[in-house]
Amino acid sequence: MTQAPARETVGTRPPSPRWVYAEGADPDPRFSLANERTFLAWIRTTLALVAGGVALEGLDLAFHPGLRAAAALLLLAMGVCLPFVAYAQWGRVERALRRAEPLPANHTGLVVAAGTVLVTALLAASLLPW
Amino acid sequence: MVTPFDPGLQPERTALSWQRAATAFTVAGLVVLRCSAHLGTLPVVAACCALVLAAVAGWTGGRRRRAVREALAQDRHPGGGAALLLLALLTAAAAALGAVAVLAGTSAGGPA
Repeated sequence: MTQAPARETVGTRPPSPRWVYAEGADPDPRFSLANERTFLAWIRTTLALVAGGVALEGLDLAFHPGLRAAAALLLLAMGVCLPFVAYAQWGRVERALRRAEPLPANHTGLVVAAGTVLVTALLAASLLPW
Repeated sequence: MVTPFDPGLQPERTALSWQRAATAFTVAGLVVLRCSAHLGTLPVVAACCALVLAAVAGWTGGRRRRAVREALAQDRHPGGGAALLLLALLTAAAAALGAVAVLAGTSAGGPA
């Protein structure tokens, strides 16, 4: 295959972030790429929550306005927080791969599930005759 | 003919995953535009900003695909922390823009 001309900076640039790359040895790239795809899957989950939150409020659905707004803002609040949680988890996994340690546990799914249940409960409550 | 890096096509799957993320980003931006356009000027501005962020996400994915290919061809580790942090920031910003659109719509009297 044709080799792309190497830039001067390639290889000399310190890998970022330091808290991930400071220790250990480069793992099998396939593991790192799988870790990257897991992060990207969380990003897509986040974007779905954001789209859901905006659509809930924007489509003028027949829910109690206050409870509906609370559900929408809860979805959007998860949307603001989740990317950083996903990035931190990516870094922890990458660091564990570099140190050849067991992979850290991830409780993000439980939190997102709890948030989704709460959103559903708010919407279900808003269907009651108030 | 390009010999694949591994039979599991990991770089290709990762590039496709970036593409799906960029597509989801665009769809989310369009949802914001479609669902809050009738709520006033501020939601429309927020939606357009989100669509600009989606374009940046797609551009980041393209750059990342080339960086991974280049690194693997030179037998280096693909790294990737900076690109992932950028995408995390873009996504959080899009969520904040969605919140702006919703709050602007609600305070403007909106659909309620």
